[in-house]
Amino acid sequence: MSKEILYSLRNVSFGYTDDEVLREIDLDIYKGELIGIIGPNGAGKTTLLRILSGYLIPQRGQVIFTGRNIREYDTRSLARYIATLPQSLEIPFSYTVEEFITMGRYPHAIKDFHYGESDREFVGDVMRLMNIESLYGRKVDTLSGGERQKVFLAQSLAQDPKVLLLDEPVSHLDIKYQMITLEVLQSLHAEGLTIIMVLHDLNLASEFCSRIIFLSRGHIHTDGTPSVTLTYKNIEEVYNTVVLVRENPLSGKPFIIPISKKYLKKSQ
Amino acid sequence: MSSEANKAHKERLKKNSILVLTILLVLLIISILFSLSYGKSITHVMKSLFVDSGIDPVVRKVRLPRTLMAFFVGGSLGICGVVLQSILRNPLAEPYTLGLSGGATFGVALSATIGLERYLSLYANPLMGFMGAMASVMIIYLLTRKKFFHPNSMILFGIVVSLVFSSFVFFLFSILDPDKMQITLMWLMGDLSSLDIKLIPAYIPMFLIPAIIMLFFGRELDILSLGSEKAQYLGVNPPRMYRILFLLSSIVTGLCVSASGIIGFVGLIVPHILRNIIGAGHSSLLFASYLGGAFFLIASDVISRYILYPVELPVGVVTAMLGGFTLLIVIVRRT
Repeated sequence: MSKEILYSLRNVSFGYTDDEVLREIDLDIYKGELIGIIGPNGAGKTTLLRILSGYLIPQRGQVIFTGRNIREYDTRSLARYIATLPQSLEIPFSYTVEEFITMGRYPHAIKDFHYGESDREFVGDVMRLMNIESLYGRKVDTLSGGERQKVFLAQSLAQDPKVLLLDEPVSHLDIKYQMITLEVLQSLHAEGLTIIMVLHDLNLASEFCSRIIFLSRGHIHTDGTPSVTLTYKNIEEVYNTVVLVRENPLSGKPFIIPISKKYLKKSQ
Repeated sequence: MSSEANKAHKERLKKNSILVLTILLVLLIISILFSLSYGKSITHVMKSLFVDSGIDPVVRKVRLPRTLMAFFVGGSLGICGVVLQSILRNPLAEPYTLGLSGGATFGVALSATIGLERYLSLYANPLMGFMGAMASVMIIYLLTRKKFFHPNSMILFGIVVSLVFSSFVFFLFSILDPDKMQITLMWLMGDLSSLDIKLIPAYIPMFLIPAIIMLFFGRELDILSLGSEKAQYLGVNPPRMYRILFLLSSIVTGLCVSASGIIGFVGLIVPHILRNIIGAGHSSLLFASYLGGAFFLIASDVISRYILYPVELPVGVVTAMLGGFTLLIVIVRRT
């Protein structure tokens, strides 16, 4: 894999001096990576994702995206490179599925005052790719949680992005839709899309991500492959929780088992 | 197989919205004819409009301007309702949600108190109403700019500003003599009959230009309704877009208030019903709401003239009663 640099963060801090959410982050991200950002609540995962998306501008330090400071991009051109799916998305009106997905074509269809035939075709392709053609004509507010997540993802893919940023894309889904969603992301990654996602579930991060950025209280605790980052020592140190780390017999990836306190007392 | 089905579905949707727009247009024309004829035949109306105004001068001099104002005010309130509901992400928002009516009422009450019509004659109420509306908009704008026009703080500030202005209005009422208070009260309830015919040519372009501009922002309104964070991810610049749309809709609402007082419920009920019929997509909703708002206000105005004949009701009372009942039915049916 050619290691072409995509993001380069230098000395990035966000927040106010006495209460910084992120502190002096140095980070390089390469094209085609599939990265999981993990860490306890309040570690700065969402803030880091929002900085990568260009939504938040750090107080100090620089974010270089494809060779230019991210602040030099205007909103539209950034939306043609980067698609971001926030953790929660409330939709006050009942748009149809295809209306909703078509909104993703906006950064590509600004000059004309309406969406054209090519936009409609692109939306059709995305719906086929996500296997949600059966949802055609349905209203977004009548969908189940899993269907909604697929439609949200389809909207982001309609942006034809080079980078996909996702904030906890599977945390409120059942195990079936967790697997469906993550497998779709994996196949998109195989086609060359760079994906960076915040995950809460350490085991899913371990199985699906090739690189894990482990955040703790606003700084990068460890950064590397799952077997380097997800050691019982790191996890106990950052989460202050006792775990067992085993090896998944099929994938060979680390597998984390949380240990309840009552078993600890027994063994002492 | 499904792409065929998709196409068929798309066709059906397109036909559906064209059908709805046609029905709205027909209803609109019928209501306009009713408003102009007032019991007389259509040929009579046509003759006195286009052939000889001498036949029935009332048609051209009284009913035509009144119908025109009802058209523009109704359409404008409809479209402004759509815009504000999307920006504020709240289907219950309406053009007056941001406290505009309070400021406008204060302006008119102030004009009555200091007797401004002695100096400005017919222009006094429209001018003071508009300035009052703009004053409250400016206050909201300055207060919420630092919060990046967060919907909840806009609604909250709107309510507070409106309440503060209302307290000033009641203060003025307490020192105003009853005759003048009656005039202000009538104006408050919405009145299409009192605007002077000479002002209408000036009003028409002021109504039309911002409304036409707003018609082009359908896609942006779709995206803005997802919230400013997601809107930015989709390539819309929310602060800039909020500023443009907020300004346009405030100016238009201010003009409506200045021309005809406070006519409630048009901007709330029309988008609400049409959204259920033609869907939530803003590009066609904006257009449909203009036609629907115009129809609703003209029809309400006709009712306000007929129902207690020969006494005329303030049109705002009719829209509020019709709108209130309809909204109640819509909400009860849904829950």
